Amino acid sequence: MNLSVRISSMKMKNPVMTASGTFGYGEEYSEFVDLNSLGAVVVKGISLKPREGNPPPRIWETPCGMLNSIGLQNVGLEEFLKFKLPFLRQFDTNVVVNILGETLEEYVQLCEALDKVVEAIELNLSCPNVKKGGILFSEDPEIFKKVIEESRKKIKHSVMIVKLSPMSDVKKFAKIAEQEGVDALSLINTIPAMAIDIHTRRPRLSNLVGGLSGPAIRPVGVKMVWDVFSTVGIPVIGMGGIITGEDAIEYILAGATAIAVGTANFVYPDATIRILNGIEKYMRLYNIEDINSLVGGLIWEG
Amino acid sequence: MSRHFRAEVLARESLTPRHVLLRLRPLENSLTPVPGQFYLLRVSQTLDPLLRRPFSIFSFEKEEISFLFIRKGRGTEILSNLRPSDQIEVFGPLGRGYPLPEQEATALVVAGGMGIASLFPLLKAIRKDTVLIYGAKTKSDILLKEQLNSLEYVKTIICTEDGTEGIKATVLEPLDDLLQRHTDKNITVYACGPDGMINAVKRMIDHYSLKGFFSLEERMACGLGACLGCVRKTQKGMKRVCREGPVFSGEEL
Repeated sequence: MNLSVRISSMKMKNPVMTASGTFGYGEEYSEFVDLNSLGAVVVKGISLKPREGNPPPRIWETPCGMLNSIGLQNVGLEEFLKFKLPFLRQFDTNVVVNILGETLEEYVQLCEALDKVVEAIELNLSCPNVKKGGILFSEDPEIFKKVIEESRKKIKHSVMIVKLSPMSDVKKFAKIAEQEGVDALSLINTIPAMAIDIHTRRPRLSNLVGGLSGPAIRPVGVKMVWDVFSTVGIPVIGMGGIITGEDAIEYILAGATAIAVGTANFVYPDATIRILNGIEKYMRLYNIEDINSLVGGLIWEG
Repeated sequence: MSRHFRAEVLARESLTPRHVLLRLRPLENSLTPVPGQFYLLRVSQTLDPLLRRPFSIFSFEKEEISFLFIRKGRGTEILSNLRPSDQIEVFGPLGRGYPLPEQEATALVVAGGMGIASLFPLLKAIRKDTVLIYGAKTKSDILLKEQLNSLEYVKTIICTEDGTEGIKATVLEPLDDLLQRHTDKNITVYACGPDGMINAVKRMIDHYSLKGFFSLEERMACGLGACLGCVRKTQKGMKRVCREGPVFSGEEL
């Protein structure tokens, strides 16, 4: 049975990755998951300088999901390279760094610093652009294009992944990314959402708005992966509410070459391994020799 | 030995109509916790509620591990309906617990409401003369009177806001009274309770220059320090309640 897949030049032993922000820097989960058995570890989003993030409360549970407004708290590039990356290098797995910036220049500097150092760089563009009055890089096609264009110039060796926001026209943005030479796309990021304590009339999150994740958003993710898969030729990494191997297969059939496990890590610390086992079980059930033969395998007469 | 194991429900006892003691038998070898550490319990076999619920350890013996909680929301409601021989997924022990007082130090324990659940195993572990100031809103919220009485070395001062049990006061009045009279400064204060109480006790021990340890509560997802959902702002920036806590020293807060 072949489980190995390729995201552009990055070879993975299986399609199971972690979703940025839900797996820390890998070490937090190493007691429960043999990191060698993962296709890739995608670490918590890194910025040039450390970020403190939002004040608490930062999370709120919703039906089959959760809201979070962590505010991109992270240790910063320097500490990541010094302490977090060496830990991950003990394992035979790909390291993907999710990056975030407040200006175009920050993205460019991060790409320059991380190119060749890690197997892939994932651009999180759902961040407010400080120089453009806080508009998200993922909102405006021109700004989106510009960041990708400049970042692309600095990523010469690593695989370049762009993470798409479900708040944009994913087909349009996927096309822009492909035209700018991006190697792969990952989606979906969380869906902006909010919740109110009706007794105090105050928001459940100090930041008012957070990102919705978990099984509640899975059908949205599956649809958008299908949309993007049908539009572009570059590989797609699917995520959004994957809890079981069956959920992962659903994304793969919709067109995902690889999948990322996010909120499920909070439900089961060994969720990634359970999902990997579930994928294998499905393949045995249907005598699937090669996982790649399932990618985009949705049957539909429409 | 794993920190992620299945357990069987031995009993679910109602201490009052709202307070539940859940006694579990681990089905695998599990690690011995320190008082103040916590566990995440998976309340449902389905995806709703999705997240595990954190509870501090109430008691731990070789074949039994138990949690004391108040029925408050959906998670605790489901847990309080468990029946003997039901199985549940348990994840822990997690976080940092209470360090025991140093040889020469006297412990002063301050419990507000359900804070007693986290502090009771500490009281059992201290094994030397200790004062417990235990406050709650009203008589029916004061739990474990017999068990506390059986700890001979613990002198308990009970206070209720409405005066229906013990003295009519919050924990702060007897605490201040005691600290004023005590010239011996080698006191370590332990506190667990609502945030307002924690903040007031913290100010008081700073005033008397005492050492203190505080257990905090926050909504949580991963329990491992990965998601950064449960942070609190401390003297040294944002700290994770699940990892650097739930017990923090007075200097840290």
